[in-house]
Amino acid sequence: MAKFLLVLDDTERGKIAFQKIYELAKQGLRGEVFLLYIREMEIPPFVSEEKEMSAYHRLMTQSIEKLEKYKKELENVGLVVSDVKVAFGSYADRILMLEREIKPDLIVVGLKKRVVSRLFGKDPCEILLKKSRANLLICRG
Amino acid sequence: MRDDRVFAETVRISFYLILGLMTVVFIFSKFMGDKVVVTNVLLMLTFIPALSLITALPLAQRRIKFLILAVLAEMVLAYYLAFHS
Amino acid sequence: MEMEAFIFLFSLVIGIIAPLSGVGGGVMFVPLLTAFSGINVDYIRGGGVMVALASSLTSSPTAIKRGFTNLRMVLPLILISNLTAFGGGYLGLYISREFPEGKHYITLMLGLLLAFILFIMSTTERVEFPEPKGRDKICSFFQMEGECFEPSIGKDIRYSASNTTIALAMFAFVGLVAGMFGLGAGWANVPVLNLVMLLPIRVAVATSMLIILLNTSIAAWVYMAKGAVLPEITVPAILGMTIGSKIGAELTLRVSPRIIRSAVMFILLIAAATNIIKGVMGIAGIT
Repeated sequence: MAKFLLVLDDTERGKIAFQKIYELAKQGLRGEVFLLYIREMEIPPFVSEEKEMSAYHRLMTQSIEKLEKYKKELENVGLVVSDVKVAFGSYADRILMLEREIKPDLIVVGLKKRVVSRLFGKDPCEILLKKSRANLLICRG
Repeated sequence: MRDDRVFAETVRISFYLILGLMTVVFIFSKFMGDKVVVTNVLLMLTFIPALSLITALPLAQRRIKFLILAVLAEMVLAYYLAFHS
Repeated sequence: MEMEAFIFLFSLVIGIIAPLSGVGGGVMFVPLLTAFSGINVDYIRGGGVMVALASSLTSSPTAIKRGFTNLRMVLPLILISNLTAFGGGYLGLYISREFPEGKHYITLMLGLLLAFILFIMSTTERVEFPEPKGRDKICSFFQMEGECFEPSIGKDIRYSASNTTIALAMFAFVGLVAGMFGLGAGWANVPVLNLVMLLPIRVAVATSMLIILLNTSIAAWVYMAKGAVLPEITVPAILGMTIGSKIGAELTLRVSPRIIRSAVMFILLIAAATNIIKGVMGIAGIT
């Protein structure tokens, strides 16, 4: 069975990626889906470990609730959700880390560019195109 | 490493002590009109790195001791050149 | 008293947004105040150096205790950048005081430097966990390595410095520029530590703070000796920045950095343009 890595987050691009795979599943796409929920964070090293851990714990609980909803919806349209994971850190780096671990056949990500972000810095999709070895499905919003 | 921990602790304690002192002295200077004392407290703030290196020195490994001494020598020279030349 | 209140609030805001945006407080303090206030650029730079020192004094102890950096990592780098930071401090004050339009040249150069910093920030990718190369001689001799717990992946990570010879040359240049403009140097230190020395991003940020802590006092003495550190600017700035950075650090646990980072960079772009225009107009004698 084909293995998909579906990348979700708390922004529009997560919703875009979810919608695309949901529609494809309705049209007959079948496979095993690994859900990765990324909370983009850059916690400076001078924050105490206790505070950082308690922030992760709080965010993990919130994110798992959201992931459960996504999981149910995908299973309702015939996809098998094999695993879910929440990651904290840089969007592109966390995808690449998990890609090395699970070796998916296809990574599904959303793309929503903002004018200011476009001026300053690369979009994570550009980094994925450069560094990822898997097939990529970049869904435009 | 113990030298790192002693260094960090010296930085933390001396910074907050001097920050408190600086605030009090600055408020008083507003009434007394004396800026020199505040400038001296600010100068004390700049000594924290050197002071912390000195406290870490006895606990450091030999090679690191050498580096700490070299950095301290640079600091002494820079201080001398800045204020006495 | 009005100026002190303004500086305090200005630094408080910078202190809050600095940890959120990943753009250092020193880099924002000097160019923004130069661009949007009438205060002499020498006094702003003197204040900037002290602000950079205070920021690193506040943040370094926790980073060291957590194992994100240590003295072995920074001392070889400090040995070089201390010398150039000292020279940079003198060079900056020499240009602004010995030449008739010196302070306008400094303002212009500050604008150009800020534009360059923005270019570096927007084109370099930060890598969370780069693959280290083999250790070189300097790294092995001084044991430039460490270990820390990384909560985001839930395990201990080991890190060690790579390409130290190239990095040393880069730090010499960074020290010169930081001393000259009173900027702090996180904007240059972090990419060198992360992309050249191949240290994980949080280790690079922590190491950069420790570098700033150890070489800023030298630049500060140059400014103090020349009377460029004014208590009316420096004390409220340090207080504002210290309180602000505590608030900012708390907010990093709740807010995503991307939008704030872009907004801050947009404001800095305006500051860079303003400084360039101010500098050019000053040199041309148009006020």
